Amino acid sequence: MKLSVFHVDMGGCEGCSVALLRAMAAMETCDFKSRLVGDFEIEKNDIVMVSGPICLNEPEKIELLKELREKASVLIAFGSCASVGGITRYCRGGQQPKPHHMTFQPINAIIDVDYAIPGCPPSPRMINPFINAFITGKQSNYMQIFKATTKVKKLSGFDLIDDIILQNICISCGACILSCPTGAMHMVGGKPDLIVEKCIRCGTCYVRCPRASQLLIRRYLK
Amino acid sequence: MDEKNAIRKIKNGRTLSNEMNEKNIARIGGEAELVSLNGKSFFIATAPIRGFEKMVEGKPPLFVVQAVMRICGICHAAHAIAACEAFEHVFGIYPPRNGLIAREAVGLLNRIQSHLLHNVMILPDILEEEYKREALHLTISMLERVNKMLTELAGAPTHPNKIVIGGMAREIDEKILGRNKEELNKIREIYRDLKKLEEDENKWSKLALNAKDIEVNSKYLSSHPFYGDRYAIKLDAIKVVSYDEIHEEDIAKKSSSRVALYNGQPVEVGPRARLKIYKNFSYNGIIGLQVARLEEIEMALDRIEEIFDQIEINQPFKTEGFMMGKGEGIGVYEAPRGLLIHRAKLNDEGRIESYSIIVPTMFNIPIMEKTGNEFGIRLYDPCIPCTTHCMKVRK
Repeated sequence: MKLSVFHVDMGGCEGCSVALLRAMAAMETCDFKSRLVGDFEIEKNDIVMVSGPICLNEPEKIELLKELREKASVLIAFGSCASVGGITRYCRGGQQPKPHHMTFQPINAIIDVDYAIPGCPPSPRMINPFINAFITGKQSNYMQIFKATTKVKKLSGFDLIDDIILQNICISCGACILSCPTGAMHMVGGKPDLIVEKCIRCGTCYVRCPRASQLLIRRYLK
Repeated sequence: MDEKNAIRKIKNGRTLSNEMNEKNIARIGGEAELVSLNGKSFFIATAPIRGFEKMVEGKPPLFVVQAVMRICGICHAAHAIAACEAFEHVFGIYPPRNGLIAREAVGLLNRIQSHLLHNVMILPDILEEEYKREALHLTISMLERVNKMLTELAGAPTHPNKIVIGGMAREIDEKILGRNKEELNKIREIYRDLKKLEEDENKWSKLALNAKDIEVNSKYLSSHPFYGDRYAIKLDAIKVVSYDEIHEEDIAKKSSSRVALYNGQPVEVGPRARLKIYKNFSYNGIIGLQVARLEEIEMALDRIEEIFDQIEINQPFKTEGFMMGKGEGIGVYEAPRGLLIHRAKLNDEGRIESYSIIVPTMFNIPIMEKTGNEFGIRLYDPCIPCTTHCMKVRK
């Protein structure tokens, strides 16, 4: 039996859709459907992947999200907008022709999410352990981080500075610098520092940090 | 359209008349509907508006470059380059030659990437059943190599962060250059096979063959074959109107897109417009758009090779030590889908006072909806994430 995977973009930039397409093209164990490639009918699915934020001013989209939740065994928020808000955390509405579109939230504001994978976009490889886990039935420790991430509604470089660097538990490994998609992290005096105007609040640094990711798990899962 | 959808629409205070036919358009970048009403077709973008132009107000230029890139996950580099061009115009700087051409190469890689992604979407329409699999395989293996090159030259395959105001933040050394020249040759080999397969009319589907004779009369607009030139077009002649200004029907109010006109007329922008203006390109039927895209990939590969030969190792890639201050600037860039314009106005603290973006799909909407069918629209490769983030240009 092939695993049925369904993907919907709620109105993001489609960068995550492209990353998913790349990942799934190589995945023969899955029957992959996506709205992007013309599958509109929502059936019962093993895994539903949602990318893009939810605009609370669009009742149609909220209905769609609830329907997706109902029909999914496992629902994964893929990418920063869907999991922690990302760049849409800066949205303030007021733009023509629909100025009332002003409230954007990660999808866990509306529905329960099983796993949330931040990244702008996440690497296509991120998805492999999840697919393997569903096929073998064994969950890896790695997935715990993304389970914990579903409990937060925002994550950014500031959180990393507050929780890790100011607490002096940073080990200066440089994972945050390597993972930041905008280059907003740099080393100053042997410790990471945030270039605030470049942070798009995608949360990638936080889940990649070996210390911060453990904090997430302890805070929300134990 | 299924019943549940219909109920949802009525709940939202919209009424549905009998002769109206709504259809979600599959295999395009983003969400849109094709609505036919009394023999007329409407292209309705339905994605929510994230409002990037409002979002960046009050923010510093460094943030803007990172933010506008995230308007679109398909033409990311195009938005970044247009924004950098606009800010460089404000600050009165001109990147060193290395930076400029390296940026051009990255932009062209993005163009190839976008055309290939579009190819994935449109292949099922163009080719006969037995050739689809092979063509798809070639497209994807080429795409993977292009992604690899973008990662090396610009930092990431999507949202490349090395495109910065003043040039490129990554310096290309001999090692990177050597590796990428090799990669380019491999891409060329795959491209030759793909072109041979896709340009062979004997392998085309009926849909594609019919599209040879469908013509949508239009004028063309383009500023540069590869990069973009703010002096090659009349910026004052561009007018942005809301979608319900060109259609009086009620349904037009539903669209979250706007429309751009040149001299008060709809114009076509994109691959065919570029080839029509800067090369001899003869296809007038709408299938010409797809042929033009294939042709452009080859041109882009040639140009990237030329650029690799021109890069001077150990010379700067970025302007250093410039001041960010008050002023207005315009960035014009030829995105994969056509003319892209960013306008920035900065206050005396160097923060954004106002920002406006005109994207290619805004020009193409009135033209592509004339084709009246899904395949026709798909040929124009509309990009909804881009289209739904634009507002009126302030004079």
